[in-house]
Amino acid sequence: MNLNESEFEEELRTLRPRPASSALESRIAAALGSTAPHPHTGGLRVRPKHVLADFWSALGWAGAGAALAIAVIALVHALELPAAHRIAPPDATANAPALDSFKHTEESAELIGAADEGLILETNEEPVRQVRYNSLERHVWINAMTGARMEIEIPREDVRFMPVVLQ
Amino acid sequence: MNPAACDEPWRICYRELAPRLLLFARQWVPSVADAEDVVQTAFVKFWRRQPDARPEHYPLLFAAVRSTALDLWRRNERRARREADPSGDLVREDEPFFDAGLEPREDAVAIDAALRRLPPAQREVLVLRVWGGLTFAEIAANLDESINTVASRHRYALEALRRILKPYESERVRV
Repeated sequence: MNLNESEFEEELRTLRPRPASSALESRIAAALGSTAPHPHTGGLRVRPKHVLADFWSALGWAGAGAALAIAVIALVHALELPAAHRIAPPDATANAPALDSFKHTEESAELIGAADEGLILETNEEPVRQVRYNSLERHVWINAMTGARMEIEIPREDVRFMPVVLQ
Repeated sequence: MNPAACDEPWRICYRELAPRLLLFARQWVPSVADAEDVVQTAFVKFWRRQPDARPEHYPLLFAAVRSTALDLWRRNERRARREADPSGDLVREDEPFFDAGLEPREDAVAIDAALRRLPPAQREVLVLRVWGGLTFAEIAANLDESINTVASRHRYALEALRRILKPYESERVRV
């Protein structure tokens, strides 16, 4: 094979990935049925980037979620405390409150946005590319005793500088 | 389906990307049915979160598919371990990656098999670049790696693929 790298890549590209089944589009259509395009604009909306506004909005939701989770824990604790008092043996540590039974069961980090903010050319340093990443960390705790589930989503914004080789 | 529904942004995006997203999902999820579930979950999540997504946002769909596929893999870790081969390569199912089309290509089977033998880190970069149509910068953002790392993996993957395909090529020349 005497192809160079890009010719070889082009040859590979001529192979077409297998199409998805016809049912998949219908399933997605059904799932997205409740999220039709914005009625006032009739489809694709173009809006300016409000990275900070989105960030504070996400932070607000995360705060509200955390507050709700704390309220749920407090409620679970309050509901279970009388029962625990009734059946508690003399050694209180033998029957720890349900709060301690929450287990961290899930952790994920999802990239939700990346923006290339261009090259930074410093006089004494090598050029770097500034890329801003927005991601969402998600943690789930489940109380095996009560089935209570607590979820927290934490928005993150990271700015990374990647070295660029100029040719 | 009315004509307006055909022009919905998500449908245009789906028709353009569905086969590529499915191929990408299959790098972690051995069954085609599971891979379609992954694509559905990621696609729906993406469009619910970004109903005004534009084509420049589409590369993020690959990140969503990757994240969903890895979540599924972690949940089924025991099963995945049972199915995975000793090299840790998760691609096992024999369903072909590529469309045979009306005129099946002789080398499609060989390329398919060679792709499955690549190390997963190189394979995902190659799939994103060649069949996903992403730039190195977009791949780097998807994988949370530097552009140089991604470009190196791509080069190694192409070299490895050519090495694996060499015997098939010699065979073809002899015939």
